[in-house]
Amino acid sequence: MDNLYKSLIVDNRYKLILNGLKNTIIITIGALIIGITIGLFITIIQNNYKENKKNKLLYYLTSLYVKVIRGTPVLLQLMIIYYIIFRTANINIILVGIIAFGINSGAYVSEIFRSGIEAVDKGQMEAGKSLGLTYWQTMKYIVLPQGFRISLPPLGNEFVTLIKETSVAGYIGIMELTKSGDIIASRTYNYFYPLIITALVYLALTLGLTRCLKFLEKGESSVRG
Amino acid sequence: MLEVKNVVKKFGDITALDHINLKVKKGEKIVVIGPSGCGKSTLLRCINLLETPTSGTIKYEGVETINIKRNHLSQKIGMIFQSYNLFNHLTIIKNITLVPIKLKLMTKEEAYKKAYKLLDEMKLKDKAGRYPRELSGGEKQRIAIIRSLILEPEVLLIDEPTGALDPENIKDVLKLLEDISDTGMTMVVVTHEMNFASHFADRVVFMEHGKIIIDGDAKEIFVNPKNVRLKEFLSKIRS
Repeated sequence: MDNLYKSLIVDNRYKLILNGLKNTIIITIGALIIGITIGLFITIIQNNYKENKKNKLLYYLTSLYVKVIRGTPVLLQLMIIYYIIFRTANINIILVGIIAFGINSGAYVSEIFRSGIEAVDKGQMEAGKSLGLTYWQTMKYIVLPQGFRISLPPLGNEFVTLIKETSVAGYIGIMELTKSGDIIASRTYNYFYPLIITALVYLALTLGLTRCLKFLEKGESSVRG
Repeated sequence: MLEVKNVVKKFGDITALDHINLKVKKGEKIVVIGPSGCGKSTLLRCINLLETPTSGTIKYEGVETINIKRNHLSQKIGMIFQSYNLFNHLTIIKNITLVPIKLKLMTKEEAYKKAYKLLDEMKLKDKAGRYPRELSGGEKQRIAIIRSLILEPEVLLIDEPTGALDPENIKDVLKLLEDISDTGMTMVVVTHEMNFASHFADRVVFMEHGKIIIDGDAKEIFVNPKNVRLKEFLSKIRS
């Protein structure tokens, strides 16, 4: 109990955990917003090329981006962005985290959206076109809304994965949740409580989120066809 | 009004349409028959620009269809699919009104008014707020037909409208097609329903291996088929 007391109460160390939790959530949500934006653009660019053979260069650039991001470790990407790209820039380190994880997530989200759109029956696009909508109108009103709904469960998984992945952000000195646990451990010379508590906070976060997403999916599937 | 001239469509090595020539006159009811894979559907899809012919031309009232914008073409040529292709994420009323509203052909009020009128005529008004998955196949197909009719096309291309339906639903859909036919609509129907075809059609086109083998008066063809292949096909399908 003494160790538990030292881990949380002495010097208000619980505040370190809360601060870490706050940063983890900020980075995750920020990254997810960037990731969804990038992912959506990539999906649209790639679909436009596949359907209409337009913008070949953009198609190859985005394919390269997805390959590079998915083929290298996220920690390395984070380090490259922090130590090389933003080396001389005076920029908030949390923002660096958001950008790095956002760029990383964009590649995965684009794959999620791609398979979501591919799961929409081809007849939907054909019906849209035969009724007189253009390709872009059909995408906007018919295909993307359906593809997005199909993408929601894997997008939820991406959210959960992102929460856990941001734990490597401590490597470049971002005070996220894992880093907080680590700091408390190094101050108290006791690893058990800080790390277990950190793990429990992650678990509460991911399990809670999973439940919320399940709930949303249920509501969603009861209204759609 | 519709003229298909020397149209060839190849998918890789496969020739789906082999020099097709077809003229459709205003008000005609044409039934296209033939074994699976003979190119019937591909022909309709080429006319409707869902496929681009490898060579040949398709003209609508003298204008090549590839030069007609989609939003204009849909008010001339409507298409009904075997699998209905209703928009799954939208209610029935939105399925019907989305396109006329987005193409700015009607205001929202006009579109809704017209859609409700059509739904009422077909006794489907109570389905307006439902989603496609809540409807039977026959209802879905009738909604798909309404969705096309609201744009007031001059020709309806109908691709195996009952191909995915059970007998009960088939009757409803065929009845609706006959009602539409009575309004003087020009119709090209791909179907395997020979009973329907024989009293619906003025003209029958029999296709095989991407070619039109026979193109003639419906009565002659159904009552007294002379062509050997056609005889074979009809006896198979009727048995």
